[in-house]
Amino acid sequence: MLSIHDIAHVYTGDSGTLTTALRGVSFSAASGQVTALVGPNGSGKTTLFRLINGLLPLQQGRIELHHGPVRNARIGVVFQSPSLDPYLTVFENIRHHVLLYGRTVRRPQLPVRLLNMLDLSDKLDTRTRELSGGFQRRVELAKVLLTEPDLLILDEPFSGLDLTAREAFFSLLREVTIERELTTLLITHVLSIATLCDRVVLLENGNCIADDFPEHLLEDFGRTVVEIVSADAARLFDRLRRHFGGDVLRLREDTVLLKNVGLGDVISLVDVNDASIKDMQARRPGLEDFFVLRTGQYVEEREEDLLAA
Amino acid sequence: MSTFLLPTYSLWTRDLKHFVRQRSRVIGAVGQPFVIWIFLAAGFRNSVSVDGMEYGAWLFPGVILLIALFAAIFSTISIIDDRTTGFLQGVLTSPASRTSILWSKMLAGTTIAVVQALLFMVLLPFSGITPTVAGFLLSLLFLTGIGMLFTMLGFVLAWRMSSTQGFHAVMTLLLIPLWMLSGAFFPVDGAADWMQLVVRLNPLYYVTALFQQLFFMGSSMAPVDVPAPWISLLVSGGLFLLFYLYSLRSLKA
Repeated sequence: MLSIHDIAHVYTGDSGTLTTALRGVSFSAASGQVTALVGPNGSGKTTLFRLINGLLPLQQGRIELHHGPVRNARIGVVFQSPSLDPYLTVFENIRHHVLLYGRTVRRPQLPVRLLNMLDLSDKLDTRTRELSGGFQRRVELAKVLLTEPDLLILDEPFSGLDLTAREAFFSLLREVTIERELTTLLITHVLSIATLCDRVVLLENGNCIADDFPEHLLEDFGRTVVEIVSADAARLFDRLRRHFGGDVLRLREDTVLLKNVGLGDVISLVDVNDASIKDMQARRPGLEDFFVLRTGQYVEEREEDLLAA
Repeated sequence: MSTFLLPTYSLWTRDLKHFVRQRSRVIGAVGQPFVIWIFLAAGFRNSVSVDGMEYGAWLFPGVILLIALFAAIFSTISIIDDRTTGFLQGVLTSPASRTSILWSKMLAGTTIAVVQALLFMVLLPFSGITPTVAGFLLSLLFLTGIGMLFTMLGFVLAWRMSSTQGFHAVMTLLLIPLWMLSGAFFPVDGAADWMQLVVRLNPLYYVTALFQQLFFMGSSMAPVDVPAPWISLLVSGGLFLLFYLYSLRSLKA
């Protein structure tokens, strides 16, 4: 189990200005589970990531893995951009990385099951620059897992992957986490994936504002929510708010969300012929809804990321 | 030791593979000194002689130093690329000791420098130089030390830089003038007085002087009016230690 105790961190700028990145954050992540760490830009996710993997020195608090200092643990880190050498083959990248951890690996020793799971068996002699972004991610995961880490931390591992590849990669991650009893911390802004994790930790402005199972976080929203996209969302929001009170939220600039209601409850209050209404749908609540409720900020699963993939 | 030996071996051999698999880099690195020496040696053949020997013969050890300088320095550019691509982060978060990162760079830069210098030495029969066995071996040994020194200099420069373009600017403005004013390109005693002073203030002058002494050892071509070997060795060793400790401090900061 990864235990984060009362972590605070302050950056000192060139001109001596102090910026507080973390303000006494505490949470834990269990073994055999994938824990998502989510939060808007500037919430402190990256600082925490760098503190856990030792790229930043601890200023306050403790980080422990299985009740011992995390610096003594074997940490596998998957970065936002793959840390692969493009001129080396898949096997060479794996071999060189494993050597960094003071171990050796020969080709016949490679675990066939893991390679098959990652679909890399027939790509061992391919230079990594010839692989797609999705396969580079798989190589990254393979080389990290072959160091047999106690703790696996992944920083935005879905960047550059399309939706299908994201889901496939997450399935692999979950399977490996369970099979190896790994403690896996997933730092992501892809809330649809975070919803699938065993536990979700939400950071905002350097504070931990939620730490729970995803289904518990969404209990407050009821079974369904209604999402209305409107060109005049502000007016619609005011009108619905008068009727439904605090159950009405602004999800995005052009989107109003109603929780604990069904489509039938709303339809009578909305003029379906109103040209400003672009879309209206009932759906299951997601983490994005919770996120907006708690932080008041919109989270975009940046479409440009998906387009770039 | 598992945090030093295996990581050092890993990063060293990785750098070598990385180098030989970039065909254009290999061709440029190997071809450039050939072109420089052939053009200068042939160009000044009948118009310049130094201490009674042809300019090409006199310049030969100087070009070997240029090879070592360029090889060692260019091999440290990979630090900037590794930082940009994220490869360095993977190394820094591994249990590999920071000392192993430094040693791997030093070994890689030195290996490339020495191998390139040996390749260049196929031109020895055309240079008019016949080094003694002792002189050849000692100069090769010192060249290994020079490779380590230059790699550490490259490390000091590259560690703080964020772009390879900036590194090239430093090469043009600092490293090439340092080499030209080291006594490798022209004999110091024939230069203007102020230039002689500048050369003698250049630490690379002492490295060059000792290398020339070893390379021409036992032959009639041995340079005269150069610093005593122990002074050159002291300056070279001192510089290496300075760059090594500074690099280590930067890595651990």
